[in-house]
Amino acid sequence: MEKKNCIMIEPVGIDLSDMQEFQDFFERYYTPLCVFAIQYIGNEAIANDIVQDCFVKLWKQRNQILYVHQAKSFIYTSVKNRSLNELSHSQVVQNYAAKVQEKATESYFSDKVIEEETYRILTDAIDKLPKRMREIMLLALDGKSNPEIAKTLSVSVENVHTLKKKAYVKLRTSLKDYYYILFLFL
Amino acid sequence: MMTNAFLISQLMARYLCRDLSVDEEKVLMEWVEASPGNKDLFHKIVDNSNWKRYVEQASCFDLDKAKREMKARIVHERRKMIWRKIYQSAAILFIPALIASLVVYYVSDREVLAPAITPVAVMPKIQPVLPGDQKARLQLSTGAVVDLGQENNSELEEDGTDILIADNRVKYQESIHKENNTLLYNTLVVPQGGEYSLELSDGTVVYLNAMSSLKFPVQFPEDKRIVELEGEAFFDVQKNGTPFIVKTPRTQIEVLGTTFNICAYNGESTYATLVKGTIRISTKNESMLLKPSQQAVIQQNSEKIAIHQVDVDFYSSWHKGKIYFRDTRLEDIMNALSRWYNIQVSYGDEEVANLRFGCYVNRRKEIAPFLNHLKSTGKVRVVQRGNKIYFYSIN
Repeated sequence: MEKKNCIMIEPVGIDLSDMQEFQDFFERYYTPLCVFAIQYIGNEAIANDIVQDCFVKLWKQRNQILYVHQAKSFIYTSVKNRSLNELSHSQVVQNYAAKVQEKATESYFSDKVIEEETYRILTDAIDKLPKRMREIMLLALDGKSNPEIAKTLSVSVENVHTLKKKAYVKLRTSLKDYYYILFLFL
Repeated sequence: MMTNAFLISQLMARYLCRDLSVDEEKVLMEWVEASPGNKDLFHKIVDNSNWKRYVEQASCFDLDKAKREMKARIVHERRKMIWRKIYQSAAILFIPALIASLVVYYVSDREVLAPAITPVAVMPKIQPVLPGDQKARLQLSTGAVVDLGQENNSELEEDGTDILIADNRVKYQESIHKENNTLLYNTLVVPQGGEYSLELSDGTVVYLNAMSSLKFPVQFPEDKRIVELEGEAFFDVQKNGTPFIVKTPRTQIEVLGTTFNICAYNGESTYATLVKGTIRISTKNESMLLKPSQQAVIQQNSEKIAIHQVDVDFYSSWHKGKIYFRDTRLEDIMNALSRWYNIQVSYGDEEVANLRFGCYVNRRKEIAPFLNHLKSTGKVRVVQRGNKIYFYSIN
């Protein structure tokens, strides 16, 4: 890669044979992966089954995996493959062959990974905020303006303004884990 | 491909939190402009209604229930694995028995040995390079040597001091009567592929890495605490008002109560990394104070102390089984690993030894996954023969 802008991921280790580390990983990725599976098969119960199966598969591979990004690649790829499999076998969508074709492309996969990963990181960070700030941030992300938020939560607009500012600062500190992973050569 | 997707997601999430530096925003925007597909995706993610879609879909799933289900399935898998192992070991026992009975059958029937049968048992198997474990030798003041292994749980006594050995740690109890004024020294020696921890009579805890030794008095005198280190150790010094001094072949480090790591192997540079508190590091001609997150380096052939900021986890997580390297020469990485794994490393040429890598090794496990990872970078060719490892340039 001789691109001018090159971003490198720093290897962050993970030991999935340690039950605690495996559970932490499961907790962080279960819901986003279910949402990711829904983009393929559109059914919550099947999404749950697929994701659970893939975590068992990941656990069986635990000794081959050294880094967090390997574990992530592995599980996103296997959830995609299982979902596509499921999709082509289900009678209901037989008629929508074109739709299956579209979903089987690499670019559909990478778009969905980016989409759900972005929201996963964001949800993770917002969950760590204190209650009031979390409410404000969730409303703001829903597209509400400060006066609208103030009305919904029955607090002053100034209050919303300052809390929002504080929330952004807090979000930054909890996203700091990700700074560490990112390195820029410009 | 995937790592790129992960990086873009991180930039995106931080963009939504208004948290990108100018340079990072440039990278993200370049990606957005790179294709119409990227641009569409960017606008979709930034759009509120898509975020609402995510929150709604996410709320359909019950994490706690899923966690319970997962736990049950792992327990089930574990059980399956145990049965498989039992079958395997039964087979291993059974095959030689079968061969033996066939041989006996042949011999008794024809009175000649059938040579075709024997090779079946000789299946070539690559020996995995296993990690080291908890082991050390304790040298008492009398010259007697005690082997400390994983199973050794016992009690010793030296000059009125009780020495307890349990759970991979040797512990010196504080003695009540300290009138004896001749200091008795013990030495803890950790071999290649070993690690061990030690609690001194003042409550200070020392984790000793492979190929290291620490010489210390059984009881500390009233005025100062002096220990001598060769190799690498992580110290958690108990504060008690008297200075604690670590002497290495080339430096002396003085502390009151702190947590720090010292790496002072013979023939290599000396590194002192401070986690908590303050320490003073001195060589023959220089003396400097270290603050937390700072590291002092004394190069192999110099007496000068250089100080810089580091991520302390990189230098101190070895005692928790994790070893990190950042932008480190391959030869330095392998030197550190060969103290822990019983391996011999050779390099095709100087150039390979000088390649730099950032990596993580779980040293409680065998070395194979790490070597595979090095191979997969495509920068180096790795050949393993038993415990000998060879590195070659790609071309």
